Amino acid sequence: MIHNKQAQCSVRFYPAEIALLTIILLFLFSKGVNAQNPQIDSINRLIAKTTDDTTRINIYIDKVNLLAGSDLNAAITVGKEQLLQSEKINYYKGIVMLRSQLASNYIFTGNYELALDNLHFLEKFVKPKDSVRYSGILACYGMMYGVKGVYDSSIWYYSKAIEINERIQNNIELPGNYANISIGYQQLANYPMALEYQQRSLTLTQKLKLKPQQARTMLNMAITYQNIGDTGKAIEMYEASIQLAEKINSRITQLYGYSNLATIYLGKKEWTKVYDLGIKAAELAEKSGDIGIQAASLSKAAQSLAFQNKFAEATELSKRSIALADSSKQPKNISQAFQVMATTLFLQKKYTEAIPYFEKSFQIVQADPAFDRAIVEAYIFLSQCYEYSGNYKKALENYQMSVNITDSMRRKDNIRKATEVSMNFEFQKKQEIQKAEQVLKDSITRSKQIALLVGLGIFLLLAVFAFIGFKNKQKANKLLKEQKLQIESTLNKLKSTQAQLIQSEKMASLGELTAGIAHEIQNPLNFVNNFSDINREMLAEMKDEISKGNMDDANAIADDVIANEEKINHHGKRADDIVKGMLQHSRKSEGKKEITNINDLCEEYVRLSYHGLRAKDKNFNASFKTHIDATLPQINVVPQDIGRVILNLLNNAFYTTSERQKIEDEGYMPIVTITTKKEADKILISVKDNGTGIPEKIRDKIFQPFFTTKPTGSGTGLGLSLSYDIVKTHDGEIKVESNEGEGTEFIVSLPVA
Amino acid sequence: MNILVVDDEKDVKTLFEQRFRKEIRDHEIDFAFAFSGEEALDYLNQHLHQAVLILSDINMPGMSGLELLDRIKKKYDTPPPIVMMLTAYGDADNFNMAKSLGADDFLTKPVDFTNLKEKIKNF
Repeated sequence: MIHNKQAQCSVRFYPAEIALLTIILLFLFSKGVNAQNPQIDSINRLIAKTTDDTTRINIYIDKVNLLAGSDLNAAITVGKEQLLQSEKINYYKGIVMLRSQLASNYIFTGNYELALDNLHFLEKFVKPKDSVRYSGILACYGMMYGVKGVYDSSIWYYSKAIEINERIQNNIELPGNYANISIGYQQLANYPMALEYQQRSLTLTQKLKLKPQQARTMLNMAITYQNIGDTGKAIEMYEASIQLAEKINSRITQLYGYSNLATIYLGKKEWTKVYDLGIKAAELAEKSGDIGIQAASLSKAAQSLAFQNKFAEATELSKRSIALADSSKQPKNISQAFQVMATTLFLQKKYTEAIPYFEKSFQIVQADPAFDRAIVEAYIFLSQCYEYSGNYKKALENYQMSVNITDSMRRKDNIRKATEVSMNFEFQKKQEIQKAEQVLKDSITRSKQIALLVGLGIFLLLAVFAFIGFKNKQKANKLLKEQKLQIESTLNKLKSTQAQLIQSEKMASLGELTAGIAHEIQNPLNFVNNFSDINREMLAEMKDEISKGNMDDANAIADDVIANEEKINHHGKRADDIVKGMLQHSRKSEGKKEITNINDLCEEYVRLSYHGLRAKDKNFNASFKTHIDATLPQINVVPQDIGRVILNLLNNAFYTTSERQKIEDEGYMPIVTITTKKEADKILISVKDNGTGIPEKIRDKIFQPFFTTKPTGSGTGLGLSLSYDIVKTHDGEIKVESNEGEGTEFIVSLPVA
Repeated sequence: MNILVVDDEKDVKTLFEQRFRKEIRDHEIDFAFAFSGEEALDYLNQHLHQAVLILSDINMPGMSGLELLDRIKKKYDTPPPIVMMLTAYGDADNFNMAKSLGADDFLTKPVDFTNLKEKIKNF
């Protein structure tokens, strides 16, 4: 029972220490504290290199910050030196920064008067518009009042600092402000507010990746949980904090983590853990120059030893603890150290020896008595001490004191419990509301996200499709362009090729005609030659007759000569026409339309065609018939073009009959008939043969360019195609009727008008 | 002496009449003219054995001179009339063909009338 009470006492004892320590800790918060030798070294090197005074002072300010994290005394020493330098050159920033640092470092070491000196100076010195520095001074006051346990003032100063810092979004100072104000609330048992600010601090430090500050915030949250009585959560938080602090080598956070964890295990009576943690904390505190916490930690270690009945060691540690606590000048620490010593003696049943330590312990905190269980337990112990030493009056007094305090404690406790419950409730409610809101938010967010994702997905898909489409289109366009160019160039080539082909087709058909033409020219020339010969003879005869006086005979001869001359003239013209026709035929088609006798055209070309074929194939002969409609009107056409059409049709007709003859018996008589006829306002030219006929399947192809049934090299395949085009340009028509094995008839119709 | 001249050129008639005007005037030679193979056969049918000499062009529309030659030689075998071929195409093919069909002579245009007169006189 007693042990249990003692344990509780200790636990209750420590919140004060926790508060103290956390406030100190939180002050450090605002300074980037993580002193590592390499960092100090590199700063020292930098200082050595720097010649400019203000720059050097700025670097020293950084150094002081670093030192404050590991060695407060060194930090103070360096700070003082540099303050003198700054004042010498009247460097505003240096003075403000260094005095702020000094103030806070004095607070850590319990030197409040020097701290206040600096703060008062700064209050007047800092320029009105220097919000950052001004909020810093406010925070420093807040911290000092916090350390002194005047939490209302502390909260007031911090809330002012926070107001300014939130307005100017001073993210450097805000985490520390949040954390420190939460300590004030914590001490006033306003845990919801404490947690609220700690949460803000945690969020901000996480966001800004301020790991040392995050570690400290977790430490303070652990303390809050500890105060609420949620030991499990508190341990969790302490461990997380210590882990992070170790990782980033943040000694002070580790120190308070160990120290506070030791307190928790003290309550759990896990003495070996308490001792280990206490010693660790004391070592770290010594290194950091923090005498107060060193004393407190040694007190805890001593207490754990006492409860393990290791009284000699416990007494020795207690003595050290008292000495250190004394020099720390922190009343609660001193009180605690005396109390531990008293308890150690009490457990050894050295009641009379214990009494002065208890009395001293109470006396020290008389001005600011902490009405908690620790005090109650201490009064009970003291009462027992007096009881065992026979001083019942004092025993009763002290017992009465414990009861009174317990009563007020109970009320306070009830309030605290009520607060706890309500806070827990509030907290839970808040959490639940927050959770519900979060769930709602999440679901909204999720659905938004899903919608967004779906939208995004669709968009992306569309974008991808669009892109693909675009690319394809681009590709297609590019391809099309290329193809267009290709086609255009191909077309141009084709056009020139076609022109060449047309020409060569003309020349080819001319070639075919050459023999016929030769024959056609030969005949008139023969006549010209023969008739001129005859005329020469006849004129000689006429001379004879004249000389004989036979004038009648001479006259008759003269008539013949005249007739022959007409023959000569006629055949000369005939040859001339043939040559002209030949030239026309080979000429490019630029012929003009002229009034033309289609009958003459037909007769001319039928002969050319026939003789051409004959000249080529001596074995072939075909009969041709011309059925001329004498009433045919002359029409306006390009004669050589229409002549070409007729020629082509005739050539084909003779060709097909010759082909048929090759496979037919002797009884087969090849015959080609050309007929002209007037029908309504049209002239019909029919070329009919009894050749092989055109198979049905190729009938629709015969007018296509390059289509030919002739062996390769024999025909250009352009004859009918060109004929078709020529007829079309004359607004005429060309039709074909054919029976395979019987023959073919081509009918060209040309308009009269 | 009756001579049948077969040619699709109508002025051949005038030419022969002029060239042989003395012979015609002296009634040494009588000329008949046909302007196609078919006409020639008609003439021969109507005037059997009247023509002792036939002068025929080869290249004619319809029935060619060679075909005419073939028919004459086959149809009128007792005694067959003398057929002389006249052609602008004095090539070996035509010549051989004419010979194989029984042509008595082969002349190329332009006709050398002095030569022709000699040949006629020798018949």
